[in-house]
Amino acid sequence: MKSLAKAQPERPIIDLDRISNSAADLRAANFNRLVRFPATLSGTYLALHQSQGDYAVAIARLQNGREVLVVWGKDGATRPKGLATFYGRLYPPQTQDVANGDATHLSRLDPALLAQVGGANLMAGYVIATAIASGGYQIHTGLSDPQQLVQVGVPYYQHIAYVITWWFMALLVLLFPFYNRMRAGVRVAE
Amino acid sequence: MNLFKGGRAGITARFRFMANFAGIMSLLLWLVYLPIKLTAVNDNVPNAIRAIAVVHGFTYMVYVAAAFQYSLKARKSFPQMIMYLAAGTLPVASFVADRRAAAEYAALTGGAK
Repeated sequence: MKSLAKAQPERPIIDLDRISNSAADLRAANFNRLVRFPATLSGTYLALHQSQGDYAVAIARLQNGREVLVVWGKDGATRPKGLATFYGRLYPPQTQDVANGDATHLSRLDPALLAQVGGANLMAGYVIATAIASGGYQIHTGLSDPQQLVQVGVPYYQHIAYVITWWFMALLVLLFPFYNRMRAGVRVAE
Repeated sequence: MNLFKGGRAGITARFRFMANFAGIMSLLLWLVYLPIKLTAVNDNVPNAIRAIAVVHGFTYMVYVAAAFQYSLKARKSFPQMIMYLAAGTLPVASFVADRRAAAEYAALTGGAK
């Protein structure tokens, strides 16, 4: 698929609780921002069939009481204990299921799936953490956090095909009332 | 080659060629593209497979033009013309339309195709 959006210049990393809140949808301007936040993890979830494999996911509780869905590693990674600082990128919630979901498996990365667990404190969007600092050490999660580009569902030439086809069909329909007259003027055999 | 000739011979040849080509593209659409599209996870369909739908769309458009011209030349009634146009939407139907056109042309020319 062709992308219609280019990667934007990176803005400075920012504390998560300054740009997202639980009361409103994540503003589009804050998509793709690099964020950091100290938090403790709760809950254990897996998000299968994501772009970089199967993700280990948890709810990160910030010190101010807010919570955010965070991808803290790939399936099988060592879970950080206690308070840790997460570095990563904030993404809008996924809207399409990519796997089957149940109580511990998320069909998509969407905090709405955990609304009963997180409640009103759960922020919109989710974070893919690339690094976690804890106990004086910083570990890399092995995940990358590329900017999410705006994409269209089909290639551009398919749109052009639709345009040409529909105009042609419209022209044909306009000819229909004159069909019998046109037919009457045609010689059958040559 | 009749495909590039004028008159009923060329018009019939063009229609028959497009009926078969549209039928093959419909088969590819129904039996290859759609199963892959409908079972793809996260709409992950290879571009080569997506191209089937695009080519099918353009093919049908040319088929419609050929069928319209054939219907005029063969003096088909308006409902018959609509049936010929609609035949391009189903793979089997366009093959049936092709055979019917061939039979009509053979009857008109005394068996010559």
